[in-house]
Amino acid sequence: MVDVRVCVGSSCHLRGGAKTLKLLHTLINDAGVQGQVSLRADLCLASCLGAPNVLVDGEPFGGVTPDRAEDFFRERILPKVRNGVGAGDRLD
Amino acid sequence: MKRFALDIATRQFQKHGEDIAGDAFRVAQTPDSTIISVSDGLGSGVKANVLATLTVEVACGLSQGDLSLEDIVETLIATLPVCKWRSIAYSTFSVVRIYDTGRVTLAEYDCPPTLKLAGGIRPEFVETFERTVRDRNIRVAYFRMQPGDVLVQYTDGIVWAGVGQKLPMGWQEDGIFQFLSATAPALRGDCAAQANRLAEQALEYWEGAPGDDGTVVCARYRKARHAVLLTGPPSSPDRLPAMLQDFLGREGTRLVCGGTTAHLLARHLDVPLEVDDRFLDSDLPPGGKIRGMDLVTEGILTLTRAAEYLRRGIPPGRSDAATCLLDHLMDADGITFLVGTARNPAHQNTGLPESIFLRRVVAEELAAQLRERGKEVDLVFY
Ligand code: FES
Repeated sequence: MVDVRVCVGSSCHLRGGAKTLKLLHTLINDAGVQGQVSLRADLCLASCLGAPNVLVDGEPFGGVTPDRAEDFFRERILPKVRNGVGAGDRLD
Repeated sequence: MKRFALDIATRQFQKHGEDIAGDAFRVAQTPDSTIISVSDGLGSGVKANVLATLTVEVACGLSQGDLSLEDIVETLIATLPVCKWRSIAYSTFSVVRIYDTGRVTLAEYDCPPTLKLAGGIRPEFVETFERTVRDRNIRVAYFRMQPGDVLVQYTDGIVWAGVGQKLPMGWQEDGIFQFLSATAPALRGDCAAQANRLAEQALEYWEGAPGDDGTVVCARYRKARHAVLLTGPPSSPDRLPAMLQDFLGREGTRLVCGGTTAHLLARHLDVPLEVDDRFLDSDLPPGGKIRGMDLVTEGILTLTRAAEYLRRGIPPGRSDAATCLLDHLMDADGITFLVGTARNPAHQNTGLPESIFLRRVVAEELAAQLRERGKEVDLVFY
């Protein structure tokens, strides 16, 4: 399971966090991988300066504006799903 | 913060054929008491209305000073114009001052006797004694109200309802007393309903064409409802424990406004913080859920929006985190804001004016709006 957390707190919201969240939701469903990705919102990921922020398996990414959502999904989320590696999965 | 509050409801009708009531009613607040004055101007129509309004305005105006109710009454009597022909005053009044502690002083001049509904259900006439003020007989009373008690003030148009028509002698005080005995238990201290029932019954006796102006005022003394709102991290992190303890130590509805704030609190309580998915579609950031808290929302934007709704009204059908917050705030009589004044550097260059990100400014604006609506609001800055 890949764990994706999208911040929708004040700063991230102002820079499109909620839209990013919605787009990621659609992208995940369209790719048919909703079973392998757990997508959640967060109220503040404590790095507001880089808003909008997304955490993928604990790894922080800043500046994930809605127009970057699709690339972000393809580059940062999809490969993890394909590799079947996610938080909580054993690597060995 | 006041520990007790009053629900006040009034119902009024005017004499058939008049388009303005000759009765008037006003409420005034002081830091430790509420003054309710009801007056019936002699006659009806505009002249009566002006006299009655003058009376209640003077009573409420004077109550803002340091005067006791006795002093207020004395001044009222001294200033009331007197009808030369009939040598009676141009208006009657009932002025009651209810202190936060439940202590009540009442002064009545030529008006029907005030009733108390003990526990909101059992009517009693308030026991008064006579005093002479400037050659006039005033009835005064000193007593206590318990939470749940209701005071009922009313004017002649209620007492004389139906006179010469349905009821040869009018409704009369005893009739009103019996009516209250019969109706109050089912209304459970609901002031608005009680005032309505009384006025409706009077109108029915008047067969829809009242021969006099009628006013009913019901005031219920009850425990105050409090809310405490936590927003923003403190100016320095070492003040956080004190701020959270202050928040958790207070009684009332607990409201948390701010993502970082919510995280800090959840960590302090060692409970999970979940995102509330109710308002994901609104243009405001969503809120969250923390066990034991009544509401968790985003901070600055939601607070700003709530103040805006109070200023301009809530668009019909709108339901978002800010309307939710307002539901809680409007339900409270007293609200304490605990405002952290740390600044979030990320709030710069968002294209929005910087002042809206000053939590202090936002909280003060919302507090001002709430005060205008009769709420008691305290602000504590951290
Ligand atoms: S609001 Fe998104 S990281 Fe703070």
